[in-house]
Amino acid sequence: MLKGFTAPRSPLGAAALVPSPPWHFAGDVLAVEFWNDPDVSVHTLPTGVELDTKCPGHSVALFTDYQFTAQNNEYLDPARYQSRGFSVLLDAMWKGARIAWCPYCYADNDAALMRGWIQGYPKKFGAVHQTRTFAAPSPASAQLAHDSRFAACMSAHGRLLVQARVTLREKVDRLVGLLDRRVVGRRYFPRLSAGMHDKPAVDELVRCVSDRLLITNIWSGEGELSFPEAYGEELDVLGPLKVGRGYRFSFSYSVTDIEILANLTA
Amino acid sequence: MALDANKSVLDCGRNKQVNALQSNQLWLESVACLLKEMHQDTRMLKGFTVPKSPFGQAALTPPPPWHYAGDVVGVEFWTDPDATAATLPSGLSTDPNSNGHAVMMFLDWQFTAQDDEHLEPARYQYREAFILVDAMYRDVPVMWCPYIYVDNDAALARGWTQGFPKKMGSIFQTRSFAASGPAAAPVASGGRFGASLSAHGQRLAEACVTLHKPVANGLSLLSRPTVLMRYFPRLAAGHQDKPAVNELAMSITDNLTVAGAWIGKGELNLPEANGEELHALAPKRIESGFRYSLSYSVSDLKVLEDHSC
Repeated sequence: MLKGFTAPRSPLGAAALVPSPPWHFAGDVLAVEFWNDPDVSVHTLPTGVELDTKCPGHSVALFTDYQFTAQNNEYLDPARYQSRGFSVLLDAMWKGARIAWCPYCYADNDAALMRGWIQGYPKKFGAVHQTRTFAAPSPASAQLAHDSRFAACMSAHGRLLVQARVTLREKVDRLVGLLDRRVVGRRYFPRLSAGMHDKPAVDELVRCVSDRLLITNIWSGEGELSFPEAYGEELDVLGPLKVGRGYRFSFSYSVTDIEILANLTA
Repeated sequence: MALDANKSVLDCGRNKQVNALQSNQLWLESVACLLKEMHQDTRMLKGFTVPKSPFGQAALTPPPPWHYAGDVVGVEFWTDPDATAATLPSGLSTDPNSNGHAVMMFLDWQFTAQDDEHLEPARYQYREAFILVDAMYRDVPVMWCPYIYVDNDAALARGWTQGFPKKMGSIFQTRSFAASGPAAAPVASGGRFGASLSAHGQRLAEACVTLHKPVANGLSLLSRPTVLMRYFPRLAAGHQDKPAVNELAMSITDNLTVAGAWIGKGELNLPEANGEELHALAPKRIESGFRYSLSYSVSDLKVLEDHSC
């Protein structure tokens, strides 16, 4: 009897890419708010999801640097269970509910990629970096303080895909109008049998369920953001027409469930 | 920069709609072109895998047919038959004639689909290491792939689609170059080829092959079909042990070609590592080592049994 929540399923269940939920995450985020062209970004939405007419094109670019654990002290295996990620979240509506749609998402770790696919995040590999903050003061320590600057970038297969910079101005109590929507994704797993290549085995619109979401140490300031054009990507067409605030904060949350909104194979 | 990027994309011929995807400096024209291009098929996301996108250019892998060419360094060996039996999924049984027989292969691959993907080496070359163990599907002798590693996300996505349980690894093998010299590693009697696999900072496999003689019929080294398990779990609470996809599948390879096959002595070490079970299949006895070039195409898959819930 093979064991494991994901492939590879193995005699002891120790080889699987991802352990079973509950999954716990903690990390730091550099975020830049921006507006893309709604006439373009509308084309990244799946059937049933609409743009939010109150804030068309309003999006956030998120760089995450986080640590993962499940039930077996996975956070003590940093090589396997730390990850850096990048995602775009676009303000949207599902049947009258405010949601955030995730058209593109990148991570630098295989366990994160598999968790992403399972949660409906369309993850690919990317090399993601962001300025970190250290307790010992120095020109290199990037203090959380007025005028302190943080930068981030993401590249894949030798091409730069995103660059961002945030200049901190003030500590704030909460994010206003940002990350206040539940994320909707699409769980998708194709078939390879001849004649079935366009008939996926799994095609579900899903809404993420986050338990105990905590956002803390929030600093806001000015953001800068660009999406250079690159072969094999369509991120650049979601590039900013206007850039808003930049944020730097820490977060934690847990995942034990997902809400299935629609079965798109039907 | 933008001009060079465009030129290379056009030269590769993959992105027929690249004119719609201009650089950010040309944003207004870009939007206009994009909408014109999209008029016929509004709101239909394209792509064989995620991420599905307006033009289908962002998907991790283009649709089949998929074509592969590469070099193999491998070791044929015998391991604990109880250990190989323990890796078999429901639907496969041990082969009474060769229980415990296994092959560890290291591959250096180039991939293309229909749009000159082989001209984009950063995205479509990759290295791979996997183990195959002898098994039976009913009365058919097959090989089962319990563990496999690659160094590229497109290969990971294709693998998951085929039923290869791919994880990421760093894989290397000695290459052979035409200009002779101590570093050239000729394919000749006495030629030696090393190979290794590591992941997340741990060494998982290391091999060395010493070539002795050419093999007239290289296909004799690949006599059994490979059986795989397509597996994709559910995350909804209460359904996490009821996978959405759980299919036993047989790989179908078209135009399978082996060239320049040599056989000789093999050495293989599978060190113990956290978060892996490859070392449970460590060799008890080495049969041989081999090296050859390989090509084939994939456009289909035979689903043998559907255990999806």
